[in-house]
Amino acid sequence: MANPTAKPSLTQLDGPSLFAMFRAAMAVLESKAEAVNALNVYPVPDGDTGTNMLLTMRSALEEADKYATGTATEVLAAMAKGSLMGARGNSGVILSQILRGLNKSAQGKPHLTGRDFADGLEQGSKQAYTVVTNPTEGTILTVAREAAAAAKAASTDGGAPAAVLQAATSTAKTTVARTPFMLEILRQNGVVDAGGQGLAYLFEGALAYLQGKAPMETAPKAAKSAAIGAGDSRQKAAGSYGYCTEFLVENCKAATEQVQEKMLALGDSVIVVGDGGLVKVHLHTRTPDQAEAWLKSVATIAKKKIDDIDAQHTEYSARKVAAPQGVVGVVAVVAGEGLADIFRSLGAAAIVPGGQTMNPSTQDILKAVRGAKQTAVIVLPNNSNIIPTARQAAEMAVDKDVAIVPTVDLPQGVAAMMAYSYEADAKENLAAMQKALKAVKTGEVTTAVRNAIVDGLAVKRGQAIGMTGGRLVAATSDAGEAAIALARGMGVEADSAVTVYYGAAVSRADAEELAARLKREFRQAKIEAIAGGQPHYQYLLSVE
Amino acid sequence: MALKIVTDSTCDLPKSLIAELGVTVLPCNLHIGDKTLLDGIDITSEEFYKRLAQGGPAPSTSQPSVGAFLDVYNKIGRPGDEILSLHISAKLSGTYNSAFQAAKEAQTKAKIAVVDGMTVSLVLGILVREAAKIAKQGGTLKQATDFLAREIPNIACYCSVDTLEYLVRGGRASRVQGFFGSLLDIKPIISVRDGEVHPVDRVRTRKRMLARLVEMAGEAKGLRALGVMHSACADEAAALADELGRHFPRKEVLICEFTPVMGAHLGPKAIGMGMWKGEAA
Repeated sequence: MANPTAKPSLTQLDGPSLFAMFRAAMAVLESKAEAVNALNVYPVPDGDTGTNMLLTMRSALEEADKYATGTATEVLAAMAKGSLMGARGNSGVILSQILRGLNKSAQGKPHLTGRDFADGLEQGSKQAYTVVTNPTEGTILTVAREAAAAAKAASTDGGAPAAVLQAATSTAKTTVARTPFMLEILRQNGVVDAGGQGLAYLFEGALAYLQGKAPMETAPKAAKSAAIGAGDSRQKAAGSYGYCTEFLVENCKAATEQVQEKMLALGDSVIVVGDGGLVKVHLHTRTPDQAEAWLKSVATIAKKKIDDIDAQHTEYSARKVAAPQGVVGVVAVVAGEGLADIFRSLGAAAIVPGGQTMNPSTQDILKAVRGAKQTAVIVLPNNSNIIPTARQAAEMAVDKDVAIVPTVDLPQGVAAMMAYSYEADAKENLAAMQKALKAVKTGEVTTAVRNAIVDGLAVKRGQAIGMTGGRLVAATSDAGEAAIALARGMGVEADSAVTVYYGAAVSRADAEELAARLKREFRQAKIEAIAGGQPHYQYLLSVE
Repeated sequence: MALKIVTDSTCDLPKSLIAELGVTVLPCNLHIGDKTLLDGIDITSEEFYKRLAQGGPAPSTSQPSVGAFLDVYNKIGRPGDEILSLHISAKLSGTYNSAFQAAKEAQTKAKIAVVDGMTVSLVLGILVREAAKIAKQGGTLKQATDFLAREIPNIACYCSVDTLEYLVRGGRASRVQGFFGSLLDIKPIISVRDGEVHPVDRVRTRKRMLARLVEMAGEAKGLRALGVMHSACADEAAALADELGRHFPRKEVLICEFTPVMGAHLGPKAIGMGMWKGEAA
């Protein structure tokens, strides 16, 4: 194990210094891995370039750990081998090629001069171009090449390793900044190239070490690899991204060109690299099993990793539209799948199913409150009968800071949700949500369960009745009629927004017909019909 | 020896004022189909929004090239001159990067400072105008950059879009999409804060949205100037400007139509409200 505080030689790098330098490089990449991941645009918009490069470096350092006190040759040979074994993703493979180049230039040398280092970078960057099927400028390849050229120039008159790395680092940084000018997809996405950025961070970390500024970070951790058991058959249809497939094969009888050709026939993003029978294969394919079967016929498979890109993509898409996690979590009691979706889409952290005639227990609400990631939680009972239960749950949740916005119906709950801000704290949210309740009026259409005379209207059992503000305003044979009468009684104005949530028992066609009638009657108002899916109430009307 | 001001077409200042102030404006690029148009030069806002309403290929945008900046810096920068290049938020556009790159490579002997305005549209325009005033009065680059360092925290920019579609397509909505990805038809109100798009509020109707923008101006502590921006909804913008004028009778209210490059990201019927807050130094 190298002494982390060992002062690197000014003119030459020995094995321990190299090892410590690479660890410092990895530490910087590690601290920036998430930021690098965020830069990725292809094929999964929210990619994993930073993670891939980091795991590649870890694998290299794990291997080199045994030679940490050895010669430069030993350290770099181990780094090259470890990175080839552990390379993940395109950028990881390219990174492993750069380490391989360094290894070649270190052959038989106990120390590396600045010149050796520059030569190694140059070899590595050249090598990197050959392993990618379609070398593209504006990527990590360009960054590696230009950094190597700068390093070379700085080394010609006997530049020390630190001076050579200084040149490589500053060029890497400016090249990264230029990548959006070279690659349209980067420009469109407003990002720099992720792999190039990752490489620049590695240079930065290495340079900081050589300048005596690098703090030593954690020891290399074991790389995680999601291995998939043999025998699972996978096949994907056209139009899908397929599987990101990687194999490490040993005793390969086929030439790398032959492997490359075969893999190209099966997929794209093909990278085939290898030495002395040890070959690393990366491709995106819809038929990974075919690739595996063929490789088995020419070599022994030592390691494989098959990731479903579509699953990653779907997960990404789902995450993208999911509401951000707020400072305050909202727990809403909601009846009806449609309405539950609406609350979720507006940012509710949890839904407790329940409402009229099916009040949730204190325990149900408490469980949701406790399950929220946030300490501060606001509960929307959305029914007057549920408010006491919610209050009780709030008192019992001693480890949380719970407040209730006493919404008595679902439209009030939606209005409160509209006012919810994920950035605001509990106090601000409470004030905004309470205020929002005043701006909404609710009407309900349900079926009379018995004969009665209410508010001067005779109601027969089975009739559709419309109520608002505790007042019966309509009793008729048809739910749509009752809704129209209700809307008239609720005072829809020119600038009102009227939302009709139609219940589980109402067809979409009926709801749309009602919306059309409301539009004819209240021409200036905004009318929207939404599937609420609630039981008991054919229609819930919200007038804002 | 003079201080010269360079900006980009997203500043949304009227051409007459730009001429009067002697500011150099680099047009951003607008890509429609396979055609590249210079923002505000090859296409006016009026033509652009008419075209947008007619459908057709979705427009995209790009920043002025490094070369375009190089040309301008080399042309206007005489020895002893100073150049302030003040631009749209670097988190929303590559314009700042182009300018920054060009400033490093420029042959001119003039001293160049490239500044991230951290905002967009007329709010950037107000900063550009104030910087140009400093230049007119014989001020130095240092005075102008000190002014910006002091005042950039005092600017605010709010905007409501009729649909999130354009922001999403242009890749500028990642922060707000989750907040606005509602099943209900809502009018999102966003702000540009710290140079980035943030969600602010969601309301159900345009009328309520306009009222909310006025409320936001009312919540500001100290107002020096107000701006109203719109994309093809001049009547609403005029009504909003009138309303702001009624609430803040002694404040200046500027009004403009979003330049096509802004419109490509906001879509039609977007309406914005910008503020320059704080007390005069």
